[in-house]
Amino acid sequence: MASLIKFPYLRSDTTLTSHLTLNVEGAYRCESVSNNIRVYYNIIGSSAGEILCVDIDFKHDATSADAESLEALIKAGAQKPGSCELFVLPSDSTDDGELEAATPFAMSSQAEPS
Amino acid sequence: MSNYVIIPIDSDNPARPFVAGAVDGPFTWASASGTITSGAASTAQAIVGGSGASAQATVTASGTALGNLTVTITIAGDDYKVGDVVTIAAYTGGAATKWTEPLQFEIAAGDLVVGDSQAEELLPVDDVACVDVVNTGATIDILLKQATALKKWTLTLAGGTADNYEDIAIHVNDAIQQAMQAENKQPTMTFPFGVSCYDVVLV
Repeated sequence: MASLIKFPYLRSDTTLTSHLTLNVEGAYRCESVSNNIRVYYNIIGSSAGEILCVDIDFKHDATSADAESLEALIKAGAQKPGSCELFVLPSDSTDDGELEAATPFAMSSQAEPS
Repeated sequence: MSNYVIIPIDSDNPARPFVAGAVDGPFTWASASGTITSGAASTAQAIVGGSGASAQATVTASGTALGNLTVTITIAGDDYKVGDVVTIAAYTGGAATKWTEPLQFEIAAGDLVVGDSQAEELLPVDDVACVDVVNTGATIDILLKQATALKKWTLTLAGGTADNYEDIAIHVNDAIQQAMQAENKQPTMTFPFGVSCYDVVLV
């Protein structure tokens, strides 16, 4: 059963916080890229040498330490089938760790990290 | 073992956009009879009435009779239903086709985009990565984590508005999450706000 991570998401028309879910089954690495967290999956990308990635965009700029925290949570969740752990951006002290409202998840094919 | 979610398909005349191209007709005068001046395609005119909004079409007359008219959709609009009677106001400007009284026609099945013909879609959720949250547009994308291509399921909705697309997307996100975690079950996705889904495609 898939391992999931949920992230706080503030609806644009209310003050209610919901959650959006990312399936991290097969995710093996997280890095801070352009103030987002990029999640790498063990899935071949659309071009040779590339793999599938999801960039997670938060309201607050994500740091390398944030990416390490998410990677640790993914690895912990992978040991609990069907889990759905909550990830709140640790470095965010102003926006409650919420996702960016516009395109919080962006999927792409990227070169495998060294 | 695979997990699925069942998406009920609204095949009972859901509200939809026009399909691009010429509408079936026939065309009549909405009330008083007018006259038609043949010519090239008119500028795009609003299609008003019925349950929908925002569609536009050009009108081209090859002669002066109603049967000589071709109405071609240029902006698809949304939320129209088969059987709606819609109107195009009189247009007497320019050097192209003109008509002096409002035209009307009844929307036929072939005038609107086609949805799924089956009662439900069984959507596998194991490969779903996430739901693309949007607050515009009548579609919701479910992004897949699959090799070699960036694939997605696109759900096309009837009855939503710009005020609730985001809420619907969050609802879909929650439903898929539950389906992923519901081992040995195939839950049925429901839609809030009276919204229905009439088409599911893998893009």
